[in-house]
Amino acid sequence: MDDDELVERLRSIANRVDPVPEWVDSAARAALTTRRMDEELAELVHDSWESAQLVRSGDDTHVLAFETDAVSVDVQAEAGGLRALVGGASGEVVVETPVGERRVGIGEDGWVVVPELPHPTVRLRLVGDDGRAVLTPWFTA
Amino acid sequence: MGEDNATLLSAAAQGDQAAWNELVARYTPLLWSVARGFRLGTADCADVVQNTWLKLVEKLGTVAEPDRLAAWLATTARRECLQLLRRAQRRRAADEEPPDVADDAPPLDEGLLLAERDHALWRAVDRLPEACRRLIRLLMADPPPSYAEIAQVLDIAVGSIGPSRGRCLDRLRKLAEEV
Repeated sequence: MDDDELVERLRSIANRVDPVPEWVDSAARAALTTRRMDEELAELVHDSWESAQLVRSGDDTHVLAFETDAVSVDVQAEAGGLRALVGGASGEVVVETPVGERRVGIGEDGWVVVPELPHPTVRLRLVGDDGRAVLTPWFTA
Repeated sequence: MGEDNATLLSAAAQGDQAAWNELVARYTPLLWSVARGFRLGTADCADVVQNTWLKLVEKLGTVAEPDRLAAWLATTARRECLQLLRRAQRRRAADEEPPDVADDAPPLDEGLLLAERDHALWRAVDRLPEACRRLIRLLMADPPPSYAEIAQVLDIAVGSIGPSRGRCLDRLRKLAEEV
């Protein structure tokens, strides 16, 4: 078996024993429904897991910062839940995950606390008292 | 086959589900291979694929280089893999549920599906050193990515792929004989 034949053989094995599950394809097709046009998209300006080395021990809070011109959202995600400090807006935050969403009020001090996340893939949608609508990109909490 | 990426992306941006489905069908196998190359388990591979598509939805209408979509998707998937591994580490540190990574080779009923020789080859892929495993896993995707795409995904020179492929396949043959 030469190299090309071997690769072809491997591909055929993978097709038989490790095909992409249908539910994965199906979820991917449904992802289009998450498109939102009405909110201003905040930009990710800091991600503590992008820069630092992969191997560390102990507490490893995932720190992310998002910004628009007027609003800032600083996220601290720990095992299980997250906290976010919202600057420049009051109102509530809709915590979106692939398995559902929940609404949390922004405290007077600007903090939003989500003790338990139903899924690690998250985005935050700010619904401001003044009508302002801001959406963060999806991130892994 | 079918429409080019630019046409599909622009249609999907207008809400054309069929165009989006075509993109999903075209590239999900590649993303799955990227995730499997990191030895992620099925649930984590599924998250990587899904998160990557969610990120493309965010970018719809602003994709600058549709011809490089495969590379963009695969690079995004690689980043998602690293974030998930990072998260798994934190989970371990917090002593939570065991992570869905490492030595979770795809569930195999391969005794029924595969001849002995194929079984040995399949097992050997998982025992390859990391760099080889990622490369071979990408080459196994159906449809296979181009060398240019592989180079972008693995962040290596295009010219090194041919020689690496040869070396990795030799190792694979040796490992398969040991099984």
